[in-house]
Amino acid sequence: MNSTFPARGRASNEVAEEPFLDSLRGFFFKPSSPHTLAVIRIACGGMIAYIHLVWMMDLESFMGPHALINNASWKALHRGHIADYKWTYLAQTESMSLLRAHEILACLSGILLCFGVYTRTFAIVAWFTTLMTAHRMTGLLFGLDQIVLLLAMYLCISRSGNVWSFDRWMQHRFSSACRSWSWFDAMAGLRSASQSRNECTPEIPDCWSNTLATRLIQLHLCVIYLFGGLGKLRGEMWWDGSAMWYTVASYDYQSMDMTWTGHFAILSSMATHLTLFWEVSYIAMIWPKWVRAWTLFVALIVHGGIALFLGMFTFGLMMIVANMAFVPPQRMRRLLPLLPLFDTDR
Amino acid sequence: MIPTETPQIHNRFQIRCPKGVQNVLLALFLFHFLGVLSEPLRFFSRSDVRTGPEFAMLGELYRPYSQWLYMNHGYFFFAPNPGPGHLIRCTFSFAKIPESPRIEPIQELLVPDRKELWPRLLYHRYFMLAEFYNSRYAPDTVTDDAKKDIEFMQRWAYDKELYDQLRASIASSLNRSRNAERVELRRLERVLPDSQQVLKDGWTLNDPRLVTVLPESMVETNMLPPVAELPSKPTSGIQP
Repeated sequence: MNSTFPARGRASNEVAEEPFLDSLRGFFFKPSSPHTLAVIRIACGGMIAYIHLVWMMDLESFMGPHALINNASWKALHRGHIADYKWTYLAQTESMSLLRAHEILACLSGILLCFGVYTRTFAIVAWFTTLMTAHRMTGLLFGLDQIVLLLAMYLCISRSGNVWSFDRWMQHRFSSACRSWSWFDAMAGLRSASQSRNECTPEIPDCWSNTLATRLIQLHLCVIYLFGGLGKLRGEMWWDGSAMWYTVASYDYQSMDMTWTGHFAILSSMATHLTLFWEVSYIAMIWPKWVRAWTLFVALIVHGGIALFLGMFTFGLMMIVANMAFVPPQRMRRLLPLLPLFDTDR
Repeated sequence: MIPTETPQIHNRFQIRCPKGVQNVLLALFLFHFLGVLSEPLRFFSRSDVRTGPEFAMLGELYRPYSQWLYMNHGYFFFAPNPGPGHLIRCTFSFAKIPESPRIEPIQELLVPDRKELWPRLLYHRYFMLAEFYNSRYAPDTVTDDAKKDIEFMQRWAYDKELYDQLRASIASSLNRSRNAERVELRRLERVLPDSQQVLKDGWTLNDPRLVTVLPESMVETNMLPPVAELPSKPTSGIQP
C-alpha cells in the first residue's frame, strides 16, 4: 500500500500511522492554491450566462403556457409509473414574468461568478438556477448542460474567487490596514502606494477545499471518459475506423465541411482509433506526469475538433476547460501571465 | 501512482481541514462517487433481456440523488456508433392566408432549421427536441400480432399517451407562433451517407435522397419514400 499511495500530502512533522488513509487525505485535502479553479470559474460563469441568454432569446417556446413541452407534458413525462425525482419550481408556474425573472437571475449570477463577485454565493446561485432550468428543459439538453452543471457544482465548494476576481480586487483595494500605511509611505516618499499596498494585502491562502473541488472534477471527468470510451467499444464503426467519417458526414451536426477527410481513409481511420484508445485509457493516462501533457494535448485536439467542425463550440470549449483541472495551479499561473489584473498576490 | 501534486505557490498561509472533518468528507465522497457511477453502470449493463441486477439495484438506490443533481447520464457520446439525425417536418394549415405581399405564409418547415435558428446553441436546442420527439415515438396503431401481447399493449398504451401529449404540446406551440390553424408533424430521418456516395457520386450531405419520412403506425409498411419523391407541395420553408 505504501508504494501505491506515497504519502506526500502529509505534513513533515506528522507520523504516518495509517499510510493508506494518510495518502488518501493528502490526495483530497492537501491545501492548494486556486489559480486553476479560477480559470474554470471564469469560463463556467461566462458559459452559464450565455446559456441563459440563449434560453431567453426564445423563452416562450421553452417555458410557460405555450412552451414546446408545456407543463402538462412535462408532468406527464416525469410523473409516470417509473419514479422520477426531477423537481423544479419552473414547472409549477406559467407566469412569464416569474420565468423571465428566474432566467435573468441565472444569467446575472453567471456573469457575477465569471467576474468573481461574492464568488461562493453566486456560484451556488448560478448552479442552483441552472439546475432548475435543466430540470425544466427536458428533451432540449445535451452534453454542454451536463458538463457546466458538473463544474458549477464543484466550484461551489472551492475558493475559486480568491484570485483573478472582483472579490480579490476589493480585498486588495480596501484593505484598511494597508491604506494608512500606503498613504503614509507614499506621502513620505518611502515607496510607491501600490507597492506598499501589495505587501499588506492579505495573502491568497492555499486551501484544502480547492484540492477537494479539483479532485472531484478530475475523478468525475475520468468516469465520463471511461464510459464514453466503453460505449464506443460496443460499436463496430469505432473498430473498423469508419466512425470519424460518419461523424463528419452528419449534416445536422456539421459546421464546417470536413468530408475531404474521406480522401485520406487511412488517416481518418487512425483518427478514429486514436480517439477510441485515448478515451478508454484516459482514466489511466491522465495521472502519470510523463504522459499527462500528451493526454491533455489529445483532449485539446478532440474537443477542439468537436467545437470547430461539429457545431458544438460551447460543448467542446467546456470539455477543454474541464480538462484544465489537471493543470497544476502554479503552471496555470505561469501560462496566464496576461491575467495579472486581479492577481494582487504577484 | 496517484499524484498528489498540490503545489504551494507561496506557502505562506494554508487553510487545513481538521482530521475528523476529513474522515467525514471522505465518507461523503465515497457516497457521492457511487452516485456518479450509478447511472453509467446501470446504463452500460443493459441488454435487450435485462440489466445487471447489482447495477440496477445501485441505480435504483441512487436515483433520487443522481437524478436531482443531474448526474444521471450514461455518457454515450456518439456511441455505440454515430447514428442518423432526426428532424420534425411541420406542415401548417392556415384558416386565412395573410394578404400582405410582404408576409410570406410558411407552409412547411423543418425543426431544426439551420437557416432560421441562430446562434448555434439555439439550433442545437431544437435539434435535441427533434431527437427527443423521435425517441418518444409510439405508433398510432399496432399490428394484430402485437395486440396479442398483453404486456406490450400496456406499455404501448402508456407510451402512446405520452407521445400524443408531446405531439399536441409541440403542435400547439408551433401553431401559436405562426398563427396557423393546425399543423401536422412528421418525423424524418436523415441517414448518414457513405464516403463513396459523397466523394464519387457527388451527393451533398443535405441531399434529399438521404431523408426519409418515418411511419407513425406499425400498420404503415416500410418507411415512406424519400422526401424528394413525395407529392409536390409548396416548400418555401423546407430544408434542405
